Amino acid sequence: MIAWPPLRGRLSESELAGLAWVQAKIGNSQTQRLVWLASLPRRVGKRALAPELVKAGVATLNLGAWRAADVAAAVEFIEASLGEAALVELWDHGDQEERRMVGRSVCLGLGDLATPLLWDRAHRQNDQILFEATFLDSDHLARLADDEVWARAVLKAAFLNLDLARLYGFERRLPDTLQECLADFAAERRAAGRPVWPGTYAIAMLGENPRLLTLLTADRRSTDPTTQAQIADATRLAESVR
Amino acid sequence: MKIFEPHAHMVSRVTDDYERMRDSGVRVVLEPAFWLGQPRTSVGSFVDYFDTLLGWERFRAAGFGIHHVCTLGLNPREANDDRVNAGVVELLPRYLEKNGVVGVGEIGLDDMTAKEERWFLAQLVLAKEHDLPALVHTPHRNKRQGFLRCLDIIRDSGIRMDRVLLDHGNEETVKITRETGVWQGFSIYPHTKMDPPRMVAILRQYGVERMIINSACDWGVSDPLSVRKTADLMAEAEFGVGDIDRLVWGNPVQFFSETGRGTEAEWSTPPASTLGATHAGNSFLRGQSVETWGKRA
Repeated sequence: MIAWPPLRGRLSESELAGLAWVQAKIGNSQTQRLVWLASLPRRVGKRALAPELVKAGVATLNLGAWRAADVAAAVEFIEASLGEAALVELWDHGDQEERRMVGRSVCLGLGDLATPLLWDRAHRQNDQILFEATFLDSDHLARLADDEVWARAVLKAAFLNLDLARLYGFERRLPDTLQECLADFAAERRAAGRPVWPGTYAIAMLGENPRLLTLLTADRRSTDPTTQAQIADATRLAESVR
Repeated sequence: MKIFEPHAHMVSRVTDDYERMRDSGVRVVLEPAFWLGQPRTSVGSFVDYFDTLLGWERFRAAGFGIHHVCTLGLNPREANDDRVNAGVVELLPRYLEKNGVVGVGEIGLDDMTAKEERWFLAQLVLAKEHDLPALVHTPHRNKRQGFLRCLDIIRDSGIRMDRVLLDHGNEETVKITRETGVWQGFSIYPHTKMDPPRMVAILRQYGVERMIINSACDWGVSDPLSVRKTADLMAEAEFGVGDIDRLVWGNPVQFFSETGRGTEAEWSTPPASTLGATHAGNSFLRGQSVETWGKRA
């Protein structure tokens, strides 16, 4: 878990003042947290943080995907030592902003037992903003999810056309079943005349699925500049994680 | 023309309405929590209703390029119902700081009972505590007395008069309210309450200052384009563009943004489209692709 002083250090004086205002309203009461947490984006703001890979215990995360309000919420959760029930309650009774803040904090390892419940909530909500906040930009999912949760998350990322590189640690989690599912998905897309998810190429390069390799070989011969650019990107990604 | 529609019960409307509203100039729609046509029997029904206004309906509106904001509250009819009144008012603080909530409403009086008055006052106090404006429903029967009683309770609550929008006004109530400092709302209905020609006559007499018009469209016979139709009639009556813009955009933006729950800049920019996306696994395209939907006849 990131100790709170460095996380606080990512906030400006005015952002810290906004956080202090909300924390004063909350005190140490979960009932008040359910009321006032929603005001953090207004009080602290939504400034995007600069890209920065951070080690949080054994986890790696990119603060560039976070906003000031997300940091402020994480500080509040850490300082209040929130556990499973409290985090899930905040999600269940939260608006999209509150859920986004809770989702971002999942990778910090807060209330570890809450992680599978929150993954389930975020997956079923099927809201791209919440999916990205909860699943992407850290290796938390790759380290802790079981194969079923992991496969569902990767397939959802493919369905939403999200960047595979944001699923940190994906190269360590390429079971045969997942590769088969991605080959099926690519075949469906091709049959419908729609583009294949670009992440498919990097997985083909790192895995050993014959259908994915056939697809990759065929597309390498394509004259379509978009396909060529996607394969070049996939090659760079595969080499960077190999 | 940009329109802020400050009173529309969109959960009762279909996607065609959203399309027509967007095409008529609506950029923001405000949905006040209200009565569903029959009484609710438990507080849980309000929880799901409030969550719908903050979740699904906001998502649905964004699909048509319209910002959706809401006011939340216990409506005066159900303020009389002891199965829900205390529980809903107890629940409200949990919702009033949420993003997309720009006021407390619709609250107020309907039959002018003691229970209505008690919960109206309690919710005005909540509006003060959460620094929110109040959208006030006024009685359809005995309207003059209803307005006077509403004003008494508003004064008792201590809320700033300019944080209050007294809705469903007419030619008689405007005489009562214009000197009080409250904002005056008029619901333009096809056959009742107020129609476009009468509204234009009121505006000609009193001007557009602190005036707000709305369609109050809901599950009944009502017209979600009535704000635009009134604006068009104003143009025919040779009102200036500035007055029309102030009435249908500037005034509601000013009233509902003053406490920092939104800005004109934010509302002037269309929300990110949710067309083709899903919410809780649900899409309003019903399996059509965005491309197919866009090419429909």
